[in-house]
Amino acid sequence: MFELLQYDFMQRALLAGILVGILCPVIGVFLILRRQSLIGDGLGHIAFAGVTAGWLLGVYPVLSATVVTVLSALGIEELRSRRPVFADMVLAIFFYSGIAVAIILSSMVKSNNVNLISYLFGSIVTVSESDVQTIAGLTVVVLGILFFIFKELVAVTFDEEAARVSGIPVKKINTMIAVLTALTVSVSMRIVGILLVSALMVIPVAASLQLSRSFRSTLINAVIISEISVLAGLVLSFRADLATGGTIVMTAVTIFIGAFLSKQLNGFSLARMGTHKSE
Amino acid sequence: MNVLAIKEVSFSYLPSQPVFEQINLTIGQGRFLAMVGPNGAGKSTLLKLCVGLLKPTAGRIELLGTPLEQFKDWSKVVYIAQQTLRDRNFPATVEEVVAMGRVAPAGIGNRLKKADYDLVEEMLITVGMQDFRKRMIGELSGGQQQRVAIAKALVAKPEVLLLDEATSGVDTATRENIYSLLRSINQAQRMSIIMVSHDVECISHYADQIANVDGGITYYGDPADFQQFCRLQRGSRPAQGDWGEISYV
Ligand SMILES: Nc1ncnc2c1ncn2[C@@H]1O[C@H](COP(=O)(O)OP(=O)(O)OP(=O)(O)O)[C@@H](O)[C@H]1O
Ligand SMILES: [Mg+2]
Repeated sequence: MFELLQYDFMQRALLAGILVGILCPVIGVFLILRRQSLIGDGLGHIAFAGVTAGWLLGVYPVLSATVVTVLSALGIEELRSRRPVFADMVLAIFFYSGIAVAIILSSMVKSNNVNLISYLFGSIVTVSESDVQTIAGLTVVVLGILFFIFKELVAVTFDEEAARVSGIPVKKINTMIAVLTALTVSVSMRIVGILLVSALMVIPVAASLQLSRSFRSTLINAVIISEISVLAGLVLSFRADLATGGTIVMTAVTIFIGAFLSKQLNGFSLARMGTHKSE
Repeated sequence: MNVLAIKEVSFSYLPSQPVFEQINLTIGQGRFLAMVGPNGAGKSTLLKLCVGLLKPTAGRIELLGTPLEQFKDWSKVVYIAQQTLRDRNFPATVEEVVAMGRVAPAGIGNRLKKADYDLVEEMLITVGMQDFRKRMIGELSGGQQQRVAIAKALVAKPEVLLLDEATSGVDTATRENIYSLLRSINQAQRMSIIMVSHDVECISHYADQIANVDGGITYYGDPADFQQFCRLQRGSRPAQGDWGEISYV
């Protein structure tokens, strides 16, 4: 493991990976419980449009992606709050517009599509010094805001109506979640790739939900599972020369399957004990 | 001072189907008012109007003497919805849920302190759920969930509690138990309670006022007289308007 650290790019990837590994599940817990698991995916595709636009305009792609995703997240949240019934449809429209714009713009980029692809699939070798700085900066901002409004977020997620009546500014909190999700997507895409950003927000949380018996433990276990996935995935992908994002996500999926099966087996044995007792 | 004043309020979800037309109701401080009435009569709607989750199409509502649009003292009001737990799989313990009641009173961005958690413990004991503090909220029975919802309301130390009773999953004994708990809180802490109830017979022993909601307020007054009203209604049904304006407060 330690010899990996001789490589500068590996140091950068590990640092960026650790940060992303905290960020994604923390925001993901709220998305899953609010039934918005797929918003990360939608914003990811919009981020790709932002990346290609940045590429064309000669702007730092992470910056252009951040701007585009934050604006889209605000739009999605505004429409969702007005017409909750159509939240799904609104997200789909943004999602496809994102891909469509990205396809058009990338067809206009004549040279060097290899680098664009590194955004899609995530890549550790292309993580630059400025990427790490951006990721670190945004992570601090997002975690700072999350820490500040954490208890309000939990209350709104649990019961939005009660929270609203108690005087919590629900609309502001919802807008904040949307913006933080957008920032998280922009931060994470360098490592896991646009196509799999959402996976790191969803799968470690899904695994944690199988094992945890309080909100606190759900959050902590999700971060632990996510960090294990990121670190194991990075090392594995380096050793076996596999795609980074895919390896990280498949590690998380493996943990999820383990957690799911262990819960089912526990439930099964409990149920059997139950029937024995009643016999 | 009145806790709540509903003045000439009209409301409809769909323009063609008014739920209320120009209803009036005033409730004095320290009261325990039970709202009863058939399914779909508008009880939940009325409660949501009172806490500003719905806006009346006409008329005005005053909470603690202030028109709703200007009302700022939300820390003094707690609302418990008919369905308190939307997601049975929500990963939170009883203790964590009750602590959520302290979120708004503690102030935005502030951590909960030891005093907040002491209050959580105290209210868990008040509602008799202290042995369940580490249990997952979704694993409780309907009646237990309602107790937790009440504890979550109580930790906010409100002056007014508006409670929409759950229809399902609560047996008569548990229901009576909760009514008597609310009655003692109402008396001990002078907290005004406005509660939707689905058991007229039973709530009459605990509440000190009854409002019958049925497309309007068709009765408002003493629980004892309400029996009389029901008998009357079974015989010759009085015109709804005759009862709409009566106020003993
Ligand atoms: N969101 C909504 N959109 C349209 N109509 C609604 C909505 N919610 C309630 N209604 C209608 O308004 C009327 C009053 O409903 P409300 O839920 O207030 O009744 P309720 O007295 O609380 O009934 P229950 O005893 O079943 O809880 C009903 O006719 C209902 O169909
Ligand atoms: Mg109702």
